[in-house]
Amino acid sequence: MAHRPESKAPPEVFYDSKEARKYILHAHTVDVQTRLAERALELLDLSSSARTTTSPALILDLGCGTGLSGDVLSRAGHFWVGMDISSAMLAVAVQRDVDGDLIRQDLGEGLPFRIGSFDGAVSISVLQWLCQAERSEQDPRTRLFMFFMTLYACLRRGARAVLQFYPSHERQIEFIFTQAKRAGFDGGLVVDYPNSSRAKKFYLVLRAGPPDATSRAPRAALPPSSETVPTIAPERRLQPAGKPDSASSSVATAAVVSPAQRYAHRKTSPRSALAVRRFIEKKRARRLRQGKSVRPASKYSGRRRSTRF
Amino acid sequence: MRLLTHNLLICPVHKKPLAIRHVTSVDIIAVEYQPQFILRMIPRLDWSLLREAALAVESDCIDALPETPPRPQELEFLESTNDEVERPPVMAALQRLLLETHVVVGQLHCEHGEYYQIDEGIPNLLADAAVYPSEKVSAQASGAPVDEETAIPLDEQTGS
Repeated sequence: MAHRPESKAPPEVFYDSKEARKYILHAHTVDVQTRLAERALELLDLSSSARTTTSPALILDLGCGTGLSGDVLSRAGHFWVGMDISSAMLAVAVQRDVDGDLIRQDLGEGLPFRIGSFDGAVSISVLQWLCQAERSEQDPRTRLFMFFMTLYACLRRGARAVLQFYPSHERQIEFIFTQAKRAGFDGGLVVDYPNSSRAKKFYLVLRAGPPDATSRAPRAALPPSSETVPTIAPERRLQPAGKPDSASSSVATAAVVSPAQRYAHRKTSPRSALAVRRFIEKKRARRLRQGKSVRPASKYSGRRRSTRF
Repeated sequence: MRLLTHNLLICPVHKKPLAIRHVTSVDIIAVEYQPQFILRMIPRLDWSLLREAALAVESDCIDALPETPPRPQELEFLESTNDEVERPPVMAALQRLLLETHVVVGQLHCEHGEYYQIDEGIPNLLADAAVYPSEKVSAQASGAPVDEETAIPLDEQTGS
């Protein structure tokens, strides 16, 4: 894990024409990408969201690159729209004459689509790029949240997004999870081949909108030899955040009249003597620190003068 | 870029629909007739935007497009009559416009003024690729090509 591409250069710089050519010439790269895309399409489970299995769906391919994952979608008979930031990768996709539409955009800036446009979304080896800040004004947290929020919006309710990624460490998974949950997604992580270090693959399977009671949670693929229960739990589910029991607490405080209610007829509510005293002490200490002149502290500090003075 | 994709696209800054203008190259690539898919897409479309886009690419299918989107009853009728041989004129027009018409070179204009370039069928929506109208003057000074409409008033100013 010493040489992670996302720590070398921003994606639009790293994926230059030389890197892009690997995605057509290197048989291994092509093979890996295609298999990842096939598995992602399988996890997308379009039969539950699209009305019929025979009708094509409109799918978003996030970080489409040279369109290898798009080819898998095209072969399955779907229409797709691909987005990528690297012009060199997109140029190769145009050369290869892919069936889908291509758009050049930074995913961290959000997805520019109308609400409820797509039947599903796939993304192959992209998410880890969004965890990097390439410029000082970029914040990975904001960018990931922006990405998930706009992704949630442009998917149809009940549609799925399957995002394969290479996490650099455990905490990065948690980090990505948190942002997806904030954006309203429900879902879990599917880890394929969890006991192998090379074949191990992480898929974030997210569902936009109310969970469908009829669709089953996806199962992780295991090598045929180890049909027994894996040692690591392959699937984790996001727990809905427990709501504080606000109803009972409001009943308890209803009888007590709050200061705001008591002084509702006044323009400003009076500060308690103690609060005034504390403020004066604090200000006194601050001015002393600054070397300015202060009056000596006494028991009369912060008291009101009598009216007969 | 298909007109279907254009119809779903919004301005990344202002979240408003983008108008196609200055189209110089359009491709027609025939695909298999997809009545089910088109019927599913109709509720997601911005109909007036589709009509404007059809005018912008000078498609001859504009006559077959009604002024308003088909109502649910009409959709049911279209669904019952989807026939491979004899396509209803609306469906044929939508097949041609949404799935077969590709804008290759053109511009996407937001109503707030800025526009994005489409090259080789790829719209560039990156924040630093957006062209704002105020930048046209500086673009001309650096020798970049500028629309003729904006160039004329500038010439008049320098002449007087």
